Amino acid sequence: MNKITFSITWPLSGKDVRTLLSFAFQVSLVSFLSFYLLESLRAGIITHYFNINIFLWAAIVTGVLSTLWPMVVPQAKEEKKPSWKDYVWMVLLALATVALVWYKTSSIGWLVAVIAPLSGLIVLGLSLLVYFDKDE
Amino acid sequence: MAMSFLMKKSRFSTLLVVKIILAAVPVFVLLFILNQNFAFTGVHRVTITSFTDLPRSVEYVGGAEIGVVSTPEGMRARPYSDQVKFAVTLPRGFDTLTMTAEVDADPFATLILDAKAAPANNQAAAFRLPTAFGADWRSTTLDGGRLLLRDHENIQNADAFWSAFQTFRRVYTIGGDLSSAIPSSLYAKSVQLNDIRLAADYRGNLAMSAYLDNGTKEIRFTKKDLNFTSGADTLHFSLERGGKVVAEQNVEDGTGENQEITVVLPEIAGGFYILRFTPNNEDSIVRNIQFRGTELLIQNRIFFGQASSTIRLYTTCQTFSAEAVHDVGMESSLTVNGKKVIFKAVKKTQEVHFTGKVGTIDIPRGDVSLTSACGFLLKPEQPIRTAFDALTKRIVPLPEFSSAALKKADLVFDDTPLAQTKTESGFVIEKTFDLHTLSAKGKTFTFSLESPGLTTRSGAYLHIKKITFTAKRPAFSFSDIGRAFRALSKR
Repeated sequence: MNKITFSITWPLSGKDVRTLLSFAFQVSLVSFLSFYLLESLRAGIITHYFNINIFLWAAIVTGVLSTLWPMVVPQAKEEKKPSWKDYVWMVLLALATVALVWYKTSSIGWLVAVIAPLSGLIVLGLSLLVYFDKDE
Repeated sequence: MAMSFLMKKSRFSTLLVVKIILAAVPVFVLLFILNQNFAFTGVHRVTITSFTDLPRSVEYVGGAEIGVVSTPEGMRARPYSDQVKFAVTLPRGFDTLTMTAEVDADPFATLILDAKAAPANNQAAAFRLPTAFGADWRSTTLDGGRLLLRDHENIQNADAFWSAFQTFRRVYTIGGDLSSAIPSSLYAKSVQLNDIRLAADYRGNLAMSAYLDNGTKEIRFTKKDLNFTSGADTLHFSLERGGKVVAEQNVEDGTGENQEITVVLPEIAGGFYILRFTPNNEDSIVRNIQFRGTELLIQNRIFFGQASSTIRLYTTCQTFSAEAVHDVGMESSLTVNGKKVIFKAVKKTQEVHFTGKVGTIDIPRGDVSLTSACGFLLKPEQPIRTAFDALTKRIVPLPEFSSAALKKADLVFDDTPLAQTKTESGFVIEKTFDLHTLSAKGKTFTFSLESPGLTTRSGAYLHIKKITFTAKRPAFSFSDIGRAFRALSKR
């Protein structure tokens, strides 16, 4: 078995700080959106005990900073073709969007049957765009 | 799997460690929120230290009637109203909640911790500083409170107690039910207990006072769920004396079947006890209440279910209020001393007056609620109560502590306990509520601070440093898994 070794260097290099800013932005944004989603599904489940705006502010600050000092992107890797897992992931996200939009807009009546599938299609379309509409 | 991961990623760089720490933050927040919602640690604590910026799970009910004042010890809250209410949202699944207030107060201040719809035994903890009465007062502890005499020796026995009531001209009571505190030897020498059976159907909260002694071995009753509305119909029964619970029993939902309940009593001393039936709604009835006792008095309000035969009862207050609860197409009425009273409308309270010492009330078909400050009797003769009333005629009840009135007093009966703990910053008063017996809106319970007469000398000043709500349940057991699923299904 290999030994686990820690290689602690301090201070961090400029590249590492930029990577961390980007990572912190992702964590803050995903956390905010996840907690916001939970709160939307069941009012009070989060906000009775925690102020989710903390994550929003963290996302804004780290977002601004990571725009000013963007992450150093490694040289372009070889074009990777989407696998069947990627397609399953896209469909699942689209279905989750349909379910969520349906749940939140069910009070408006028959129109929900149009809006919810359309939302799902938009998510699916955007996911496909991310893969296929690369900058040439 | 995990091991192979470690073998592959055996080198932890600073970047990776910081990333793990960053990613752990929302995970810990999620765990915290899960615990707040489902309480898997068994304890949930909410503390109010800043009364202008409450914790997110606490809200003022009816606006903030509390202010903040600067004192030499720091910022303190001061209630501006006699009653300040808090709505506290808790995770499901807790059994008890302890409300603790740290206060600094004038010797004559009173603070009561209360909860919405709490039964009497679960109602309030009052607070008074030990210095409220001067050094010239002597105190005797009774079942339901303290008897205080000024410039006299302690009352050591029942005869001295009796003598005090006969001798002193100015006798005051502060709150409390004096009848439950007085030793049974003061009542009539020989009390004849009978088998009592209440055949009528009672709905909603029901409290009755009766004289019991060690001949009362058990209390039996039948509960039946009406199931007019959906949801579980549970009931809590308690036998109380002097604000303390002597026996209690919870009755679960009975799915419409008759539930025969027998509450076996411990050996009890003779005296007046309160039998309290507290259902969680008015969708069930209690009938066939049976026990051995005498001098039964149904307190305050009765809500009769449908009745096939006429119900008769008596009251000594010449005014009481009545309300027909349902309209099934028949005329709703009752008769008081032979005079018919017709209900003008359903679910509308109307005052009923009569002349004479005792009103005899006949209710032909039930579905009526009655309210009287004197309560209702099943038999007009109440020799023990009559003797006691004669004894206590010269007693002046005080709604709150009044130093001006007490200057004249010879004897005071006080049922408000002293502050229990003295800390460096003031006094601590606390009360534990049984959450199962409190009414709640979803997961939100309403608690209140009552500080009567703050603007008068009797109330003086009252500064609150901190209020803590601590909800608890027993440590985790495997049975909690089913309980957690039930709690989830209620959400």
